[in-house]
Amino acid sequence: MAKNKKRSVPNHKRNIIIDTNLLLLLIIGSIEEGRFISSSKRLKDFSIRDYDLLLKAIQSFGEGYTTKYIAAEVSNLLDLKGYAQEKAFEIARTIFETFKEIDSNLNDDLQNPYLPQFGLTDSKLIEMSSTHLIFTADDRLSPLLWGSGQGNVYSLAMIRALAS
Amino acid sequence: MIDFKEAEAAARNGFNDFVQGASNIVLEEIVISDDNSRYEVTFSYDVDRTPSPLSGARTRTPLFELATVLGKRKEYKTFLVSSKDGSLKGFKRYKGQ
Repeated sequence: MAKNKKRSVPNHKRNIIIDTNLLLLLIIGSIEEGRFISSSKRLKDFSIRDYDLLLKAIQSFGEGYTTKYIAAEVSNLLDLKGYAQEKAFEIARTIFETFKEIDSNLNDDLQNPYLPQFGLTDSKLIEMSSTHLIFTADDRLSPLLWGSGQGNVYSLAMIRALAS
Repeated sequence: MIDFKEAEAAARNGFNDFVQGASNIVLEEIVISDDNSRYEVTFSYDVDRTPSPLSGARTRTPLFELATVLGKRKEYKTFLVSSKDGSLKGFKRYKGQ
C-alpha cells in the first residue's frame, strides 16, 4: 500500500488525493479552454476560473495518488458527447497514469465505519486523510476530513479564498 | 475564384485575428465544398494555459509536470473562406478528430 507518513506543512513534498468532482473539473476543464464545464451536469457549481485555480494549486505539491473507487467514479461520471468525451478519456488516462494507485482491499474497505454514511469512495478518502492531503469540493465531507486528517484537506472554498 | 494557396493565406489572416496565445500553428487540412463555394481550412495549434505557481519557482514534481501538460494542449479550428473572393465566412471547432 502506498503511504505517506509525513504530516508536515503542505509543500512540494506532499502527496495529494484529488476527490472525484475536482478530478472531473480538471479533466473537463482541460478540453478546449474549458468550454465544456457548463455542459457537464456534475460541474454546475464550477467555472473555468476554478479550473485555473485548481491547476495552479496542485502544481505546488509532490505526487498525486488515487484509488480504484475514485477512478471508477470519474469514469462513470464523464458525461460529454462524441469528440469531447473522447478527449476527456484521453486526458483522464494521462492523469491516472501520472497518479500512483493506493492499494485497496474491498473486504477491508467494506468494514470502514464511515461506509454507511459516506459510501465506499468517500469513506476510503476519510481513511486516507490521515496520511494524504485531500483536495475536495464536497462540503459534506470537508468537516469530517478536517477532523480525521488534522488539517489535511484543501477545499475548493479554501483555494478560491487563497486566490482572492 | 481563389486557389488553395490563397485560401490558406486568407484563413491564416483570420486565425491571427481571432485566436490568441497560439503557437506551433500547423495547416492540417484544406477541402473545398461540393458546390465549390467555400474552402474549409483547418489548423492545429498549441495553447499554453499553464498558470504561474502560487509563489515563486517550484520543484518540478510529478504534479508540476502534470499541470504543465494539462495547461498545454493541441487544439484545432476550421476556417471557412469564400472561394469566390477569399473573404472569411467564419470559423468553427474542428470535428474531424
